[in-house]
Amino acid sequence: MEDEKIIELYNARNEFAITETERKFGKMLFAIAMNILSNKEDSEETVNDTYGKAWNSIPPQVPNSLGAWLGRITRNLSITRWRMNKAQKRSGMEIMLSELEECIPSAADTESESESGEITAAINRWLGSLKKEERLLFVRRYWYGDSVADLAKKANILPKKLSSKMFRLRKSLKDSLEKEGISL
Amino acid sequence: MKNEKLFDAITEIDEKYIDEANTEKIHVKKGLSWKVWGTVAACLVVAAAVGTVIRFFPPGASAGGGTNREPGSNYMSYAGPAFPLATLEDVSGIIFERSTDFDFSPYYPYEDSYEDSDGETVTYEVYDDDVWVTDSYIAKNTTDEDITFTAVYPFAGSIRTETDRIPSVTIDGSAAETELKIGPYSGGFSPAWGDESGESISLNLSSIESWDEYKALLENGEYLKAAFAEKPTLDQSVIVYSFDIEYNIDMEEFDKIDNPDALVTFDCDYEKSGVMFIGFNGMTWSREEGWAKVTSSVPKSFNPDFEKNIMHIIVYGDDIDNINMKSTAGEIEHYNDERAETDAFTVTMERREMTLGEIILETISSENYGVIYYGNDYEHTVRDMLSDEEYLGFVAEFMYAHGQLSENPAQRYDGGRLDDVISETASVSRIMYVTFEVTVPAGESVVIETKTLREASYDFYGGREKLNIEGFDLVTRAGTNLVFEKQSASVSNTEYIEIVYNNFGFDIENGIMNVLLGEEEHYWMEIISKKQEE
Repeated sequence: MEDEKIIELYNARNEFAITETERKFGKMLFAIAMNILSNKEDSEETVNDTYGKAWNSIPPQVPNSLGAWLGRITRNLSITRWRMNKAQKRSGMEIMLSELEECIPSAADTESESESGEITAAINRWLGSLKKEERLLFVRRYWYGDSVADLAKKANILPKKLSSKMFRLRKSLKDSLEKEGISL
Repeated sequence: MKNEKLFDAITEIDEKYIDEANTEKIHVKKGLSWKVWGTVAACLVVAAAVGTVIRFFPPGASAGGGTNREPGSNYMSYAGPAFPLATLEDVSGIIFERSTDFDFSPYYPYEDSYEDSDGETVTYEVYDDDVWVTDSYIAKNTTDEDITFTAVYPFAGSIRTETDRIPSVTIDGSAAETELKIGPYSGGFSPAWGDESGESISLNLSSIESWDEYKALLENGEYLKAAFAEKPTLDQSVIVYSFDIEYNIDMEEFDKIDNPDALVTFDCDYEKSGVMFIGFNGMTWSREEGWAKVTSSVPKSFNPDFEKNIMHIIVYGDDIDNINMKSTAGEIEHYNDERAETDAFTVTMERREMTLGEIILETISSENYGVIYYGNDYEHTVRDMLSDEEYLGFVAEFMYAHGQLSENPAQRYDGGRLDDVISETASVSRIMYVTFEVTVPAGESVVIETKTLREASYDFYGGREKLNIEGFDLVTRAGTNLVFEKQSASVSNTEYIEIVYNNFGFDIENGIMNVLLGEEEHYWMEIISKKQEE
């Protein structure tokens, strides 16, 4: 079903909105949660919470891209849940975070920390400057949380080769953030 | 924690990148190539219909645009300039005067509304970032004989262009009878990212990003000729294996199965055969060992393509053998692994002999095709104006120029997936021509007026000085044979826009809204919406 039609269902307070959302995006949302939480039950609950949030937010909200909008809710809910039960075993989230350490810019000249919005804007600019394949790889790995093994499969390359590409990308992001004077 | 802060910042990245990563395939490395197909085809095909225009970019160049570009050029999304009128015949007895108006009334905010959960109507303001371009020509016949000619008015678009963006034409105030002629793909192909070997020269589509590339494309008149040329046919005899799915268990049970996949393997002597596919989404093969393996995921009851599968293997040259079908499902460790066999469904096969054109026509005219290929909805677009047979002509043209039938096939289509060729025939950028007959009586003048709703050129993010700049431009000579006495340009209904840069000479603040154009070949302006600034 088209996104507009699903949003119409939400607007009409028709519960098929949730059914259709689950059909179209359920798998993707579960993957996003699972990639952060590495726990099936937690991920299922997070995805259900996402549907509840969508139901309460549309209307009045009118998402431009329903998939990205839902995905962002799942991602945020997953991060919150992950913060709540941090004591757990090493999850996909920890692995991603340890990789992202490499992107943290060295202390910039500016004394104060950059606002989150500024950092996002800088990341957007950096993403826009990338070749499409690089951008797809970065967003799949650090937004959707695809594991390196899965991503290598998708891109049809050896995991080892992908790792070195990801390493170069993280370095490039770090350089770009430093150039923009971003301080975390 | 700093990395968590970075993680949160990544969460908020632009939705277009999120969507892109969810829908686009990642082409990092090219697979083994099926050059034999190109070679076999080249021997048997009489001639390609059009000259191929291929531009090569060094890796890193085509990301283009963005913060560092020169004003008025190299947008990430370039809508193309307003081209001047041209004619098919020599019209040296006629002198033309051109005036072009850019009407920004679409930028005026208007109210839109939706109904909320309490049945209350909520209204909000929107605007369109389009411009109405009225391109007018006074044609003066300086001879003492009537002159009749075929006028062609070019515009950049694709077969997916909405029909309300096709220029309308009036002659002395009455609507002219027009016909649309569609040129071949105007762009080229570019390499994959990070390929230092230089092998992947043509894995990505790369559209025209600046006016001078259009100028180069139109320079020798070949492009115009190709737009008017008859499209090639696909009369090659092929063997078609068509597959279907029989479900053996209750759909409620079936819907719970992980990754049901139809798997087809076969042997093939790639020296003697070429193979193409429709409807398969995974493939591996070895040219040396002479085998191939293709897979197609089996739709569940809630998938849009349930019971509407289209799956064909199209063989050209010697037949393939040892065709083996398997029903598989389950998880796998590595993409090369085979899933376990299942009884939940059966794959059936039918063999037919037909022509390549027949099987492609059967596919594009199947009502299921639009269901399966998401985004293939072509209502109110140029595609809607074409019959399936006419569209087949464009697919054929594209295949001879860049696909499996080309002497110089793009690596993008190496795998033999015809689905890509069929859908990209509709989406690739082209120049199209609105054509119409005009008669100018001896010693008199006729006014030809074209009106077009044009999209803005823009960058996907930020742009220069972090403004959301949108560009509109015009070329004065590219692609035309006409003699112009003078050309002028104007802007109107500018209340809701601000011109940030331009080389026309417009200065809204000081009332300069109408200018005489000089010797430049390219005039451009960059604007921002005042609504957007708020």
